[in-house]
Amino acid sequence: MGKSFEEIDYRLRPSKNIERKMMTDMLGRLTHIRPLRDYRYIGFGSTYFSDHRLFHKELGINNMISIEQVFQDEERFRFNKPYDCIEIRIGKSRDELPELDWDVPTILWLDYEEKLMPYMFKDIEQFASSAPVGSVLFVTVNAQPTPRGHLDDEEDRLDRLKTEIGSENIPHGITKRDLRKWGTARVYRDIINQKIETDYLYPRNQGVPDDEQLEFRQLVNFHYQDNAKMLTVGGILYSDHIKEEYNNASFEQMEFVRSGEEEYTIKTPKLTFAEMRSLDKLLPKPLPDNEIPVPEEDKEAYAELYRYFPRFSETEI
Amino acid sequence: MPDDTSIEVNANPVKEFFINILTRDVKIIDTIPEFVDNSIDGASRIRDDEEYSGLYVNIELSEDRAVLTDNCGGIPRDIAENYAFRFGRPNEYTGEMDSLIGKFGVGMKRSLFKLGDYFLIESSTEDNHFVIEVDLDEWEEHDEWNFEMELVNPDEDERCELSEHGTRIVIEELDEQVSEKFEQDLFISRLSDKLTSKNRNYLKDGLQIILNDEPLGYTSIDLLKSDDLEPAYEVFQFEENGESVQVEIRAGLGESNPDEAGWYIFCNGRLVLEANTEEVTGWDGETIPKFHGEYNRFRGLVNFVSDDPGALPWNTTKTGVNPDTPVYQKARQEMQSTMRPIIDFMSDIAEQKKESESEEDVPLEVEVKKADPVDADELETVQTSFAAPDAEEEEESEGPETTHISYERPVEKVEEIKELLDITTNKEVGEKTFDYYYEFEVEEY
Repeated sequence: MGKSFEEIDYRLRPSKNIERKMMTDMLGRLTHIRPLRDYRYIGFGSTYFSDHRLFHKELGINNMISIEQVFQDEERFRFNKPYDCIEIRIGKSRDELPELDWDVPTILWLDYEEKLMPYMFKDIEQFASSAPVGSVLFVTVNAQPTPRGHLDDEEDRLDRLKTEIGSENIPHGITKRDLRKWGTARVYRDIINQKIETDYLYPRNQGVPDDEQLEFRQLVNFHYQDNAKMLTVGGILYSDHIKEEYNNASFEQMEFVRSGEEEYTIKTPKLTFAEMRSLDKLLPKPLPDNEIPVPEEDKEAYAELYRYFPRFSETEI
Repeated sequence: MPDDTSIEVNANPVKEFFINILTRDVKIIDTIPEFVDNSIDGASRIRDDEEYSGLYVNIELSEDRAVLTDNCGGIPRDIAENYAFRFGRPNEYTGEMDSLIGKFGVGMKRSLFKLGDYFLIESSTEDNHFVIEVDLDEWEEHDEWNFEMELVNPDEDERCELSEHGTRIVIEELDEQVSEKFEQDLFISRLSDKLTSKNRNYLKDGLQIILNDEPLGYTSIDLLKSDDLEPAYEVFQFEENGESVQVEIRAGLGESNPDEAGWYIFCNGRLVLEANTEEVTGWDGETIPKFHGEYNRFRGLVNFVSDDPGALPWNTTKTGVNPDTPVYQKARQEMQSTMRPIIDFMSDIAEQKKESESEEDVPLEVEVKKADPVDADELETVQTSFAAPDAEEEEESEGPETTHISYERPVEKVEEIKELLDITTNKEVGEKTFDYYYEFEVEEY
């Protein structure tokens, strides 16, 4: 039984790791829109600060905020803070975000672990209704469909979703069948994007000149599964005002960038170091038939994201 | 000396002003229900038994146009001429806008103006077939205030599409904002919610309403009922100036839900206030406390019924009540006295919860949970006051005096028992093993 390596995978979360590196790569292109040092990063750093570390080291962002709601562990968060430029704010994101100055171009990663809940709309609203053009938002939610056993008698998944987030937040045309398997993630993406466009940007755009009308241009639509099914949807606040700069950034060239409902699934083949080294020698060209004794689909998956693939090993830093 | 030209020139700003005033406070989402109301009026003209199966209203909204088609009998010519599309006489305009418009059909005219600059209404009844086609830009130019009704032969007029007796309304040249809204899936789903709750009673009676290809479903408002728990039902007749309104009140408990708790006010079956927990429905903080989380189970329904819609306490947009009308004043008083014992009962539950140290349901809650949800419309229509289990009795009736046992045992063994008995808590392990011992070692002998 493969129980033990599954558990290791869960703790190290390779897909999450890859996602973070892909985001870093993509965010680097923001430099076409504004100098990266002008951006502020807001995330939920926890005790690890993985994204803060990465974005500071790779992108040179100094203005960083980490929001933590478990006030009991405040001391621990402060102890683990890797750089002095990270400001730790203790509180719920929906209370802390409105306290911030929103004139600053912002990269906000709402990296939730739960399924989509109404309180998240508050956070998203704060961003969409006040962040300046060129700001970037990522939202990560658990998109595991509600297990049948958790539904009440005669309740279906759509009923449950209505109870959870309110029928007024569910776009017309969604059926219970749409919520099966990865369907919940697809529906969540749709809801998040439509909430942004309809409820936050539409009112914000009233009376605003055409070239400053904001839209949310989706850039990522990640599906991955280290344990539960997860969705990350993200994009940039765009207006024609930054048309040229946006085009120069050429986000669409990146193989994982997705502007619509089609997702990019982060697949993480389980390979040994020896296998990866052998495959690396053949990359980045398309993998020809080769002798490496690894299933073809694992080879393909690896070829797609080898640049971001983590090498976990036991070490004491 | 006035001539025809000068009158035409003058008409424009007056009409523009008029349309502006008329549509200013109308929300886009409230316009479509007005047309559905018109269809329902038709349905109730051709079916007097409150049975609407086979009748439909089909609504198609898109970026370019709104089309509503029904087979609800059409608009009779006299109603169209005298009420639905008439605007009084502009010559006697004295600055009092209300006097310009009739009591009927305001909503529909207002909605037409709000949505677009062109509309076509086709109506087919037993007796005739007519078309009203209006281009608002042209209409504003003319001195004439009424819309021209053309009696047509449907076989020859290519604008006609109705094959059954009914009404078809087409609105084009949509206002930019309207067009944007009609494109939003979230707007459509909110409109769908609105139409569903507003027309709950008609959907129940078989009317089909279809919005962008999706039929709306009937959702009931459920009240809990058991041997010990009885929702209140009250009905009274209110007469004033020869107009009679029947007021029906139902109230009780439902599932605990802050979004659904409150009063639902209907006028002739149309929902005008939904889940209201404000002063207007009696939650005034004096006679009745302000609404609060402990009242999340409260549900109340009031239906005002009259042959004369003008006697009903709704506002002109049918989106709220007119709290100053005597009939509403009287009803509000009755609503307060109906809800009093229900509020008290919910306070008792809250009190028991406060005193209880365990996480388990308090006795009154247990009683409430035993009750079954019943569609409020299906309740017997016999005057009944709210009845509920007695708080003190429930506390006493817990059975023989009990005591607490607490002990420790190895986790592993406790887990084994849990698995064996298919239970999850330590408490259950204690109770089950105790009962088992008692049954075999004490009771048997």
